[in-house]
Amino acid sequence: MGMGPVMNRPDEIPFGFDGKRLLARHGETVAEALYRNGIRTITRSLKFHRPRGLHCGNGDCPNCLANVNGIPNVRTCITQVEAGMVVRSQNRVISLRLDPMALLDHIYRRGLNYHHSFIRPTFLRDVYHRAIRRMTGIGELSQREIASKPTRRISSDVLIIGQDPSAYIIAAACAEKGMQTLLVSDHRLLRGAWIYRSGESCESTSSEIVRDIASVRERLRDHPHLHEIAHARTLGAFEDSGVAFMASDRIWTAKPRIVILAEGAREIPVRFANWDLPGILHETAARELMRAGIRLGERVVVTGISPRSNEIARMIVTGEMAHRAILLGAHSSSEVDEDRLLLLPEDWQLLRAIGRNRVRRIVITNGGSERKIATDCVVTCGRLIPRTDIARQLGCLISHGTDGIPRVHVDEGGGTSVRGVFAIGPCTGELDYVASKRAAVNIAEKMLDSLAEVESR
Amino acid sequence: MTRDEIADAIKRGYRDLESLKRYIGFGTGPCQGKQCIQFVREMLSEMGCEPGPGMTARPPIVPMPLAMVAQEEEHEEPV
Repeated sequence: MGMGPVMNRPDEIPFGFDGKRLLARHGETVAEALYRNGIRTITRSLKFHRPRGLHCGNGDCPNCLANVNGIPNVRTCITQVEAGMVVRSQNRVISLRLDPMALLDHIYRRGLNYHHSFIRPTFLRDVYHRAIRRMTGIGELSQREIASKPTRRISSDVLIIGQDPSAYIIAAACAEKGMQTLLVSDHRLLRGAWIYRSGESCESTSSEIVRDIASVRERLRDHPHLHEIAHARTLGAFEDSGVAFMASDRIWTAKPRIVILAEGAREIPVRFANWDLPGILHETAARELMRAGIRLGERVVVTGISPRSNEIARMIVTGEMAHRAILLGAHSSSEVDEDRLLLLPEDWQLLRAIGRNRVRRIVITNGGSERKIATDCVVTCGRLIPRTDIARQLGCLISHGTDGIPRVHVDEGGGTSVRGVFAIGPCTGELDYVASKRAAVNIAEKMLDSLAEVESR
Repeated sequence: MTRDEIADAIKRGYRDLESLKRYIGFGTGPCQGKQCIQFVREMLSEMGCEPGPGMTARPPIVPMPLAMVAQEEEHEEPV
């Protein structure tokens, strides 16, 4: 579609979605811009063609994948919107709203076991397979050549991998101790701030983190020992070429003497039926929408782990957007504006979400009776799981706490089971920011010793 | 993948993360196990099974265009 000039405010940029012309604000992501324009369903799921939209807001889930400028399967929640961008929904037959393939979801209510379905009679197997492959759009090829520059190798004493705020703190400590420091960060560095909390609230911790990072940035501007590659995503660890990451238009590889992991934690969904319906958001996505000044909905339901759910419910009703909200599983002590926030006590739990293309109602239960509540947005505060992807690839020992949640195992000095690999912050299960800061300084001290040891040999 | 599909597979005797993955293919879709593995881990525990350590996500951790891998290595650059 053509993207001719349109009349718009100077801070608004035009883009297209499935043939519609829309306006976005500078700096927001494609998924945020669609949400601002009232579009909840971005695409459909691979197998049952269920409607999907913005969900995790962190690039971790498969719900908002769309075709952007001819490139399929782009994670729209972490892709910045640009003027003239052409966004298309995926995996839909006929239209995004009315997809006859979505009937599969109703026919196979108990799921579809492909070890036992579509295999008899055997002479039809090829026909079935061809049809099934056509149904799922994941094999779609890019219609555009992807510009890419040669892979570049970069050398340093220390490599810090992280989207957690502690990455910045430890990068500063290392650079100021004279180590050649490479920080590979992505644009979501500050999104990890809310994960940290001291006591009940994360708000004071978040502002402390913002202050710390601003002061570190100021202090280390043009520092000769610090090199930052921003907007980068780590691809993996390889035995021969070290750690590889992707930034803008090329792959970088680094084989440093010391690696520090500050990968943070990721949020997982709260389990209830139809949790994948558009309009159901992780806390991260909800916080990012509010920060961008986008209204979540008319009547927001908040559920999940307290005190995080208490805190976000309060943010929703006291913010500038004047939302009304319902908090499930509320603490009796919550001080709130009762006109705008309805509290339901802890014995009420979310059973299922209802809606054809987006959430319209939820069903809650207290064990005995069930109640239906009309809503257009549900915010879930799911469990926080340490990110262990790179640590596992590097061969670090992963320990499971009594809760069964995996985390990078570290000793008192922040060292992992692999020599020369350290870990810090929520990826080790540490959710206290002050403790993470203290660990950052300790690790930096210890590293000077390890480097000296390496050099003396 | 649905909850019933996972429950059905567990009942069929696939009682840890590794063998469940091989049977129903969780962790091989667009999230590459980042989200679904925790669901499956919880369901296994609730059904009285020992989930085991789980799988290591192989590179690339985030999706990337093959055109980038095809590029040759250029030169070394100090920090």
